[in-house]
Amino acid sequence: MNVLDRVRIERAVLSYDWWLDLRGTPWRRRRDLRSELRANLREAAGRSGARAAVAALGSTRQMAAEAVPDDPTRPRWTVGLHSGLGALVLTLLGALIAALAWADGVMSTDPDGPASGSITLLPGSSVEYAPVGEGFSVSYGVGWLPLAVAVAVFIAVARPWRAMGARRAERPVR
Amino acid sequence: MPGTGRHTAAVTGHDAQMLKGILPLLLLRLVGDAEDYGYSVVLRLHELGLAELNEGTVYPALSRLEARGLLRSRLVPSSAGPARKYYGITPAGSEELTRGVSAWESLAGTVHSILSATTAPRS
Repeated sequence: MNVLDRVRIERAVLSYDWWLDLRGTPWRRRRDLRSELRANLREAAGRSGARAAVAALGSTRQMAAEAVPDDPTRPRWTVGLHSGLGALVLTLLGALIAALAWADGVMSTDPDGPASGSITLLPGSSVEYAPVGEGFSVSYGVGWLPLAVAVAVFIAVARPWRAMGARRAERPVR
Repeated sequence: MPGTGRHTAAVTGHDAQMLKGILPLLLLRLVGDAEDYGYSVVLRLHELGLAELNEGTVYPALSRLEARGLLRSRLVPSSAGPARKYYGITPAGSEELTRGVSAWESLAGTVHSILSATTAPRS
């Protein structure tokens, strides 16, 4: 099996896991279902090719819905983590574009000495421009906003307070 | 041979929704005959002429039957790759199979008698 086939299979397994996590499936159960699907897919790929094996699954969302009942009382850690990381990357990308725009603005004034400032939409950020010989240097601190956005998205999507609610429900009544 | 199963099913054209309803019973029967794992069960179904039942339908159905306690499972190492999850029928599964077969035969008999007879509206 080549690398591309392995990627196809892992992509299908991760997609299945994503939907299982969204349905509140416990980690251990998800691990078992992932292993089983991976083993079945690898065997099917050996017979009919990875592309056909993955296509035969149809929608992994539908599969997850049919495999496990929805449990709205459990946190969705994996989905939360992926969403938080996605938000972090997007925010950092936005911050980088803003910093480059700031540097372009400074350079258009052809400054003789160093210049410093911050990006208005990124509280806590700092940008410094300094001419160095024939060139220049730009140093940039993104501030706390990208991390705060990532944490907020993680919490909003993962819903960790559900774990506390579930623990409280499991506690015996005295 | 899976190709043969697909050809048979294409000719017979089974209704996918109808098959989905009867799938748990078929799986209990197949796994009850001999312990088996997901992909092998799919191949057996295809060989028996039910090519409409694909992997995405059969795997979740096996998981649900296991969660209901009608099937049990165990991991068996495989030389072809990761360990295979073999399913076997439980006593509760055997009871469900007996009950299901009886219900299916009763329903099939009734449906057959209606379809094969000429009926007239009650006056």
